[in-house]
Amino acid sequence: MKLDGKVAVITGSSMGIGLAIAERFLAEGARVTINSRSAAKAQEVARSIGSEEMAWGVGADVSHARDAERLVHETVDHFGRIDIMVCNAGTSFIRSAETIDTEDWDAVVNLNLNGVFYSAQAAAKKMIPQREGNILLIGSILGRVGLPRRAAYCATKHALVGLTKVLALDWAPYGIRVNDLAPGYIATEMNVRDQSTSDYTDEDILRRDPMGRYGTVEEIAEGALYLVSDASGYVTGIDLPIDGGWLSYGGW
Amino acid sequence: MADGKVAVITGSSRGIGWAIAQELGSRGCRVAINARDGKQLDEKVSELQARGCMAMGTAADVSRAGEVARLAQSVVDHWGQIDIWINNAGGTVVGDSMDLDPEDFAEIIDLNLNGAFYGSQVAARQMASQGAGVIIQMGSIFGSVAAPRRAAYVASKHALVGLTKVLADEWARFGIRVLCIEPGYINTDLALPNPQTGDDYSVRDIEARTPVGRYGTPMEVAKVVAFLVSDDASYMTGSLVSVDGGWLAHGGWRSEGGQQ
Repeated sequence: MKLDGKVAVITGSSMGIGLAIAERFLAEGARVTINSRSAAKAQEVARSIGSEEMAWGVGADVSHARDAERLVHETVDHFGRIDIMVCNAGTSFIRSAETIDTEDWDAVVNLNLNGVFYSAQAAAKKMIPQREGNILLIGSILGRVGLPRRAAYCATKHALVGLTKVLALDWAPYGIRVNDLAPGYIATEMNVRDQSTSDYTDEDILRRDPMGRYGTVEEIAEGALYLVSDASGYVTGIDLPIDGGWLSYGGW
Repeated sequence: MADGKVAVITGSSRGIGWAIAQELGSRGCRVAINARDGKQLDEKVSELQARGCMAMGTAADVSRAGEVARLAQSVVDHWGQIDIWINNAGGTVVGDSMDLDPEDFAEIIDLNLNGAFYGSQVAARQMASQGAGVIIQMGSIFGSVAAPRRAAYVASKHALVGLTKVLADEWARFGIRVLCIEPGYINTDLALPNPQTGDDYSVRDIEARTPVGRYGTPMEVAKVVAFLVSDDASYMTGSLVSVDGGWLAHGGWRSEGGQQ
């Protein structure tokens, strides 16, 4: 198994891509911390995917630095170490830029950008003495291109591409690799919720996507496994799209 | 010429912002300058006026949405319009990502990213009512690449690239263009080595790494900004424009320009 003996924290893992990554890592022998803002939800999801020895849940809102630090500390207390941090917690926010309430803007930046930095830093502090570790940021194709009505989302996902590069440079001497995974349109709860804003439909996506379908959370989890496992041992600082060719398409 | 266009430049009491204020002023813009601290503003406004520019100054901390709204309002109250808005104010914190205080990280994001969004938004609301406008984000080569020990700066400058694309796309229908300029190492306080902030390079390092073999000047950035905000650039929006002496083009460890 590819992650035998490893301990992984996946932020925002009670559903969607985060949950799929947790399940994939479990199947490869990792022990996982499930995280959600709600402790009860995190614990319930952990119980449903693995034994008590392999999976547990911690409630923490990573947009607060102290919560991110506690998430890591509790994981190390519980499992004895931390090898992998997947900074997955994030949110979409769809609204015309001129009508965005600045408090809503701040909330998205706090979670999607600052929360990722807090989680990555808290994990790295534990990984440095181990002289190994792996940090994965979950970005988006909107870390490379723009889309109307997603100012905060696109800005924060672009920021993660930059953050990935710096952290990879800063922590390479300690044996810590840092990468970014950029999903395209994936069939998730977030996608369903986003469509309820009537901003786009399944048909729009299927027509625009070169492969003509949504990606699955399992396909993203496979990419995550590659980036945190030894298979990608010489890979750091990259932004890996898994997008059905979305970014390659330059036509109309 | 930009006869009578009203330009707001945040963080413009010195450095690149001050050069932009002078250049736009010399091309006939009415110029509103800004700094967090009002002390230097009066002097700078007088300096512009002495050269025949129409100028005003408003102190505001652009990392606070309320102060940015007040800045925009002061300009509209004074001149009745805003045609050009330059989100130039920015800062950096240099330090190992491991030891960076989360509050310091958030403070740079507040200024460099959130401040640029607040500014863009208040500017766009005014420009939409006028049916035209240009917004410039002051990015950096570190919006495209990274250097160690600059997590907040690099993340915020990459974010401005994304923000530029979305806003350009959204606001084209209002006649508003949005662009991002990416200076390389420019001869300003921000880009010169400062041992007190833990800087980790020398002037010689920069010269050797830059294909043209030297720092840029603030005016070399300001001239490009003046072009981007002019009608000569009327089909440009959502673009990244680097002004970097070839920095981003170089993929090796030392450029020929640095070899004397």
